[in-house]
Amino acid sequence: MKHGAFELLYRSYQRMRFGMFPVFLFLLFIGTSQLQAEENPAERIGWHANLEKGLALAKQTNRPVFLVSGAPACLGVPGIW
Amino acid sequence: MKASRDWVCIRLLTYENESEYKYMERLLGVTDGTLPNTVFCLLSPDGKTKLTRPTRGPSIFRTPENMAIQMKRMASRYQTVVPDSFVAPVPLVDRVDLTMNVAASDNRPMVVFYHPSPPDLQILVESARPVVWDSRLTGQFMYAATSSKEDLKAMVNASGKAGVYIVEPDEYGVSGKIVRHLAPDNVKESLKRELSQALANFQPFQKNHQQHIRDGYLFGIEWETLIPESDPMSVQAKQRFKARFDSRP
Repeated sequence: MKHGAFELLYRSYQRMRFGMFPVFLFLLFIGTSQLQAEENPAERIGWHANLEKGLALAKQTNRPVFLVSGAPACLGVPGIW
Repeated sequence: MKASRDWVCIRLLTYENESEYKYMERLLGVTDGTLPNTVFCLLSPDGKTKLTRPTRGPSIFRTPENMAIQMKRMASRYQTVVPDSFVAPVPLVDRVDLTMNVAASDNRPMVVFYHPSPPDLQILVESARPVVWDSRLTGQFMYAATSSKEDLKAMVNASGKAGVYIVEPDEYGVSGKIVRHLAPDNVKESLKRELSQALANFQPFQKNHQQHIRDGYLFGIEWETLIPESDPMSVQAKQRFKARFDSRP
């Protein structure tokens, strides 16, 4: 899947738009808690989890920043975006 | 996915760090305490210039294909200034319990670096740096580091010995099964092999979103965020769901 991660992002975001899971995040992007089985190991994005360190790294390497944020709990239940 | 490699990809946790929360409020220009639970923005390397308008999600790109194309185009404006041998730091999540939750949400295994001595912990984490960015391992694990033995409690049968723990979180990320422990002396030599093995053996959960939430309520599994949730849509949805759940026969 050439743009699999991006497709997940969009699919999740669509759900959000239509209000099925308003809290639910486009962060599935990461290829995370997909609702179906997935190939293991599928290629994944290496996320930095700290803003300060991530921004420092971007500056140091002169690479642009792809910033997302989300909550690893849906309706207060953990273990799902 | 390929397009993301030219970027520093940062994924924050909206309600788990006060200064990051305030940063996102400023980024989105939210002043009334209603920061949405999702944020998306592309920024220049200095972190100051917004390459896209900050929003809840990436809908401005319309399609995933276009998003990849545009990101590639934007990244081509910047020339990386570090040698090929440069290796980024280990992408640690702030806390072990939070890492376990994120790993469960991502449906991935996790790695916990533990050493009671903070300087030794730092050495331990540094020793893993080249391995975690190996092309086959990038993004496959969540990482945490701690000097506190207390933090290991959620890991079933944790020996409390210093080293690297490879852990499979449960479905909700409230506890984890240790699949491997590496003593600090073994890390340089064995970590790559052990992570590859753990990855090969890892079976992600088959999660159904609604069922997961229903069961979570049923079993009383709830996650309390550090900062109270501020997304009005999300807060209302939670209230509605709880009311429906509580009024069930």
